[in-house]
Amino acid sequence: MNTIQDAGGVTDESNESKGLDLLKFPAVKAVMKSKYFPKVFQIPVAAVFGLIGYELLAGPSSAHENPGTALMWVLWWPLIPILFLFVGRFWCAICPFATLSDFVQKLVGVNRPVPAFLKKYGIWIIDASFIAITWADHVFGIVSSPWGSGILLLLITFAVIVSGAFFQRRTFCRYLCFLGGLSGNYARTGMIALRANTDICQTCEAKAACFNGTEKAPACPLFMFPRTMDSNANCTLCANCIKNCPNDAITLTLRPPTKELWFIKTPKIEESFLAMAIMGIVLIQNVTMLEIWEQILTTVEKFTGITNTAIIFTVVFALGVTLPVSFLTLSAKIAATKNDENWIKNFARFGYALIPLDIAGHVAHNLFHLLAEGKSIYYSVASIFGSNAIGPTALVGNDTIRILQFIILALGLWGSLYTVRRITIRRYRAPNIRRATSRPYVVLIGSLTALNVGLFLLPMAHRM
Amino acid sequence: MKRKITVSVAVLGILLALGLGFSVSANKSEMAPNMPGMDHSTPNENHAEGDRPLAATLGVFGLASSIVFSSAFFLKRKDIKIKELKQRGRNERATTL
Repeated sequence: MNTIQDAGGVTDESNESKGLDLLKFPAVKAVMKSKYFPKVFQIPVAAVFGLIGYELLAGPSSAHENPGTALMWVLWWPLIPILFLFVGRFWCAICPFATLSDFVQKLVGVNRPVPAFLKKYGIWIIDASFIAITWADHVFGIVSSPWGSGILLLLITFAVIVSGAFFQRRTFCRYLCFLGGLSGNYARTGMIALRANTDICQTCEAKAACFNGTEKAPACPLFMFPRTMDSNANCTLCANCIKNCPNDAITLTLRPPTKELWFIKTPKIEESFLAMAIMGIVLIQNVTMLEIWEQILTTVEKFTGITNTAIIFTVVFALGVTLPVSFLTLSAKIAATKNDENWIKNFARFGYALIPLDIAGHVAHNLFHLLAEGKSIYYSVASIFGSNAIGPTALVGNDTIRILQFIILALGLWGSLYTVRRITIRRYRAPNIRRATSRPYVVLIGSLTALNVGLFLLPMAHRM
Repeated sequence: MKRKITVSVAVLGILLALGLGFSVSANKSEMAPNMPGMDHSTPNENHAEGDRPLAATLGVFGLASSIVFSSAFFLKRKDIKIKELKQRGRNERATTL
């Protein structure tokens, strides 16, 4: 027997929740226990998103002049993955859609339980909707059209209203939000982990106040029970459980980035699939923003005779999303011949190792938009107040951006390789099995990094 | 009850998607030069405000949301009534015993 059980001889798993407990600091504890947390963030964020929605629908129709486009796609979208790395899913606690869901629920909420099919297939729906929205973005030009972005916001708003009106808590955020799926995966790398001290929980007589809520704060919005929680994927750091726990059993520990990925107890194939699909989507996003994209389109047209760009893009997109998934499948099949698990388990287990590289690719791609087009945020927002300021949009030079992109990719590469190493050490006893298992994944990670580097070396087009 | 909710949500969703889908396709020509367009020509010209069916879109959105709100409101009232009836029944049983 080459594998060891999750609960068995693992040496370092029990250390997962140990670390510096931020709630030991009185100031942090006071903030988290305050009734104004996270409301103090929710209200301004909702106000800014209200402005974004208004500008997208009723503001200038050119993306270059629209403050909504600048705030949404040049500022918010690039900052989001960086936030996930540092504070996990905290964005979800202050997201305007979550605020809206809570509001609708208070107003007319019927509070029906989450449908069983959502619990079972929610993550696949998230996978599919993420892929569909990215596809639609390219075919209908959602990002580059303020109107398209506005319509997307309206559709999400409607879905949130339906969910808030009929179902319990934040059903939409947990089971349907495409960004929630992305953030759930990325938040696993987060440096702050909220957990419960199970020794204290064993003696608790408060009837799961952390899960059900009390008069101090509502129930956990994402249906998590801190006592059994071992992942950041569904924790928004909203601090409801901290406020509700009568025993102060909740801890908020600092941990190294990616640490959670080393200890996934029950890997899920749909989450690994999402990680690979995101990798493909980011690669496609890069390719279509390159100046050579037009040449690619012309070449495909010449060879196939297809002139409809939407069809060509759909084929390229399908290939782009399928390739990383196929490569991971291949790596898993090779690895399965070297260890005792079948390829599906290998796929599910090691897909998580690709998440650090995923984030790195995502951040590096969006860093270009943030730094090369950052000043456009100022110009377009100033235009609301009547300013005619105009000028170059870059905050720093292209060379600086490229260096930063490569540094980020290097960190992602290191994070992914280290995660593979930790998973194999934890999972397999024999060093030769560890080496043989990790080899195909190392090759995969190396190839995907090289592909990313190659793409970032080519000149990229602007969003604004 | 579950089926009623599912059907009404599905119908509303389809209505909204259709309404808003028409709005998006009416504005499809606003793609950036690097984005693939249906006819390969991707002008990024400025459209007049009147080109966008803003009123129609917000109308569809408002109508659909109102239907959701009112269905949820009536469902909630029904739930409360059922709860009250159950409670009354329990109280009556308790007094007869």
